Amino acid sequence: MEQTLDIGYLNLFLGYGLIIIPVILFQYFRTGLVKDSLIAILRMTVQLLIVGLYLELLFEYNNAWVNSLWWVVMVVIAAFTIISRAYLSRRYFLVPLIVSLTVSLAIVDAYFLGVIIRLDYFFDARYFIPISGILLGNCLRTNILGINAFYKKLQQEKIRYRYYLANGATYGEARRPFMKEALQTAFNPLIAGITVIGLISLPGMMTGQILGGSSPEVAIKYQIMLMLTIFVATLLSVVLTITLANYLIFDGFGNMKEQVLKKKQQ
Amino acid sequence: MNFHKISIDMIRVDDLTLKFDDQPLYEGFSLEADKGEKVTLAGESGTGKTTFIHMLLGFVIPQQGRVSIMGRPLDADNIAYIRANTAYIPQELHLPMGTAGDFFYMPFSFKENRHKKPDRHKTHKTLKDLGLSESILKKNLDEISGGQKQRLAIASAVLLDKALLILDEPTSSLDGKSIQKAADLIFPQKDLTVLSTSHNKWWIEQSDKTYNLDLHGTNA
Repeated sequence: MEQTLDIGYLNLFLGYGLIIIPVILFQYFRTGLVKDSLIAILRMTVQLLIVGLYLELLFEYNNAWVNSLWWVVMVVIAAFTIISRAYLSRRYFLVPLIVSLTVSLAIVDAYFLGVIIRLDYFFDARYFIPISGILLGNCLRTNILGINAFYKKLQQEKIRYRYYLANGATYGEARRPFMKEALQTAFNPLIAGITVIGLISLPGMMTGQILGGSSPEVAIKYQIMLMLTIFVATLLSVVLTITLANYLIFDGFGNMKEQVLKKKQQ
Repeated sequence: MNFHKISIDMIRVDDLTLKFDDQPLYEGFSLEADKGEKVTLAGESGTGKTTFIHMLLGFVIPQQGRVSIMGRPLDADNIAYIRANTAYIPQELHLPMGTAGDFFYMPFSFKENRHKKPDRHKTHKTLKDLGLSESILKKNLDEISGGQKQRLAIASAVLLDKALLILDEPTSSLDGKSIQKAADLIFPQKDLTVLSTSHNKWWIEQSDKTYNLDLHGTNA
């Protein structure tokens, strides 16, 4: 496989020179975004440097236990990120999120790496880490959208939910219309993304693979599988998170407990 | 209180204290509704009529008091049974759905009510009793008036054929003639216990019993 050309540190520094353009434009239009942009770029640099170091180590040892530990760390960080970004209560959502992300990711990873790619070494860092990472990143976005939509709607449309219950609906029946709406909110963007993939943009992983020396044909096969697994993993995780969280979130009368959504969210 | 008495009470509320945002709505309030009785809660807005209904349906938990419905204590073990045997219309209901027919048949989509879905003849008759024609079911929900929607909800709730009917302000969007039609449909049903809230004087007069929440629960 042909090696990708490295970027020298001096050249990387030159690359940062591009920042001058947004700084000038933001300053000119007095957007107040200059500081935020610079902080964001600084954070990105530091985070990626740290991750780079980690990945170097992971790739060097390529040990099943170490790789799995990294996988668990990614799942836990994803769960905390979803909670803070969607303004959820940790008490009700942390355990359901960790369980649902673990289960969905494990199922889809096992299928993708074990059945489709048929890796000789299942925990091979080159596959196991980046693919799990992309899947988790997508689960994060979709869970934030889906969980928010479900509980916010239930709270805003309490009258409708109570009407269903008080006329004999089971908890499942009363919550199903809200689940339907939450899934529509969470998955419409993903389905739209799948529809136009390749037409509007080349997906990141495919670009990476081509840059890394893979043939476009191989890159496309991976991308197709990746989109399918993203679809399944995100859907599984959203449905599972909400289903599990519901055991903690509703009291014995089917009422949503207080403080499920934090003030800012309400 | 003896056991036999409990079994014929449809609703029995003893010494109830209910607070809303830490403000007591009523303290030591009691209410009784026998099987088949038509009971109305009267009182100014803000006296807690809707909260009382929410309490009966298990949506608001009282601070103090004993409540039993259909002879069973109102608790987490019995709430499914109580709701399964109740039909309820809230004060203002917005359903995100297409036609008036979807709205009307919605409660019959629940497993508990599926076998009660009315045939065309029964639907036609009930709608007619309330001054509606069957063709209204084909209209979009946003094309019909508030009063028509309220009557559709009443028709649907009556056809659910439950032991207890709970109506929150069923007369609020109805004119005098429609109120009379609704009462003519609901009040003669001997086995049906009805608990409603209303400001309407005529509706209150038709009821067997009225509790005035302004006076913290005395008979009006």
